[in-house]
Amino acid sequence: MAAYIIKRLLYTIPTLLAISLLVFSILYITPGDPVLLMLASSETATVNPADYEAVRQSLGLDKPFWVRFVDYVSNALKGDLGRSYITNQKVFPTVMERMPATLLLTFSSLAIALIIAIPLGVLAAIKQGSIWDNIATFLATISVSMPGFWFGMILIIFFALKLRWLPSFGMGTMEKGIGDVLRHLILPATALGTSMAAMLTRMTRSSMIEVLSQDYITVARSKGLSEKIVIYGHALKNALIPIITVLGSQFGSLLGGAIVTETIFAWPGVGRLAVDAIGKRDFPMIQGNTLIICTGFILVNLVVDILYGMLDPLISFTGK
Amino acid sequence: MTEQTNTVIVQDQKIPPANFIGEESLPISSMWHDTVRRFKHNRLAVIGLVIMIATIVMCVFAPFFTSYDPVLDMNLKNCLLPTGSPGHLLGTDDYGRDILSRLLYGGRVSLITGLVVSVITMAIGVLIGCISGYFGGWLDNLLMRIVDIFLAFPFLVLAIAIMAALGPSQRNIVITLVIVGWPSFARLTRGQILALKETEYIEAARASGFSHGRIMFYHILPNALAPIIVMATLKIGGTIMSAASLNFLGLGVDSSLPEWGVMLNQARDYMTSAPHLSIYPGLAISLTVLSMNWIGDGLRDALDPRMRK
Repeated sequence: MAAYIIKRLLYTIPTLLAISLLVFSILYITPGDPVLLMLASSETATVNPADYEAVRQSLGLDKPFWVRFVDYVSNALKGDLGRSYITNQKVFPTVMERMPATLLLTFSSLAIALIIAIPLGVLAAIKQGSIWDNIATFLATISVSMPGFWFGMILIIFFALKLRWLPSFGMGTMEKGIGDVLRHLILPATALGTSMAAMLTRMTRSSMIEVLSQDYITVARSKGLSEKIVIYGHALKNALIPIITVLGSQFGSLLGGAIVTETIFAWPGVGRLAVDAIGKRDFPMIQGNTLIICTGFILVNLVVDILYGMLDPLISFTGK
Repeated sequence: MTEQTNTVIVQDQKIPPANFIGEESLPISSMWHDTVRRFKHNRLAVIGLVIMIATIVMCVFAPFFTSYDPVLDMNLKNCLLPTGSPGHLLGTDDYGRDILSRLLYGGRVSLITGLVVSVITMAIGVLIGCISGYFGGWLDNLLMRIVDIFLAFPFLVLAIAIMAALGPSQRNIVITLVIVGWPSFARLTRGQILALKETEYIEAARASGFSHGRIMFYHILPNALAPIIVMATLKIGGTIMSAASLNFLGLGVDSSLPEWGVMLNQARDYMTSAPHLSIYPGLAISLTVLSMNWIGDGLRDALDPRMRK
């Protein structure tokens, strides 16, 4: 087990390096001169050549590509991702400051997705072919096809603007109590979680159907166990295994969706920070943001992989 | 294979069916016949196809359905008209432009983007997947590590970062979505090739001395196509959605041009006064993606009954 975790951790290093290289090159190929971006207040303003050279050297832009890349990675390991071109604040603390808001949003939407998907998927599976199954499948197909950001806008129009039940933007403050934050959380988390819920419903359904046809379920039933124990005690536990693996990879789409959702609901997370940074062409901020989000995603997948191994005794750690 | 089928059909016409016994007396149908027949029996898939054809016809022949120019016909006296206003079936936007005509012309952009991205990602992914799966060895290792790295990124996060670097335009949206889209095709194709490579008929083809290219593209690929076609169909819908997201964030086309994501972005300022601006473009995206998903699911069931869920 320990050997597996160490091996899995070691595999993560080249992936992280490659990701930093990719993110770093994106800045490198970008048209436009970062020095001019920093110095010139407008595109037509003139820049003193001496100032230009000084800033160029202080940013290390006079060095060759690979030297700059190695510098970037070694600094990143120390938690230094450079400074914003616009505000001159350090990138790493700025992003990390916004991280809790994004994590709150993504994990809440994950929770909403699971709360909707698992009962609905189980219901569809045990009543396969019934009206419930058809309704669940139909709803799932429709929600998968809806853009999450559009669903968010519809939620705002109905629940915030027409009915005035819930606030439409911002995160609220803890000073007004946890209830205030929760009220602000409901709409964005629902908007972000719906398409995930739809996908998970379909997965739960097909996974449950497969498990329910296994011999050990027939054995459990013939032992005279109640249907409730068979479904929730025996079948669901095994049906959840493939779902957990999908959760890991789907976490990435939640993070991507969070960027758009945060923009609609003015949620103060890393996604909105990234979109703002793109608007201002603040490249160190874009780089840092992308790098931190991707690293987080890879770590989540690592945890899921290890969890998966613990849940399913059939997966051997030494093999493969 | 097709040649064989053809000759049998010719024979079938010459000799009356009564002369056949056993399996030979059954009607002969090709793989594509079977596919079409099974597809036709899938109600949702047919509905999806009808919606899709209607959407394509309305967008391609947009000038026949609306007399307004989607960009130039502005009239501030008629701005934010509600749905059902005389002359403007779905109302007008903040510049008094007809929403229906913006939807139809915008659909052209979305549909072309979806189709182009899907075809290019499929071509690149299939080629790389074929090479990787067929030759194996260090090349396979290298290519698959690259694929792993691309798939290790959250899709939209990578797309947004690349868009930020390339700058906003519809062409760059296509480039970005191709860059982030090909790895899943490569992985799928490789898996298919690996399974087929070991079959006996490929061994026979190799023993006959056919070139690698011929074996790869004439013998293996046609048999690996079914899941690739399904993925490409679903990719069209997925691309339309991703492109709309990028445009919604303001990373794509010029905001004066009609595009569904751009229209939703503009609608955000009028959610209280004119909610219909937010509703129609989203409905258009959802309906198009939904119909592509139904077609894709239908194709999956029709192309290979074993793949049915």
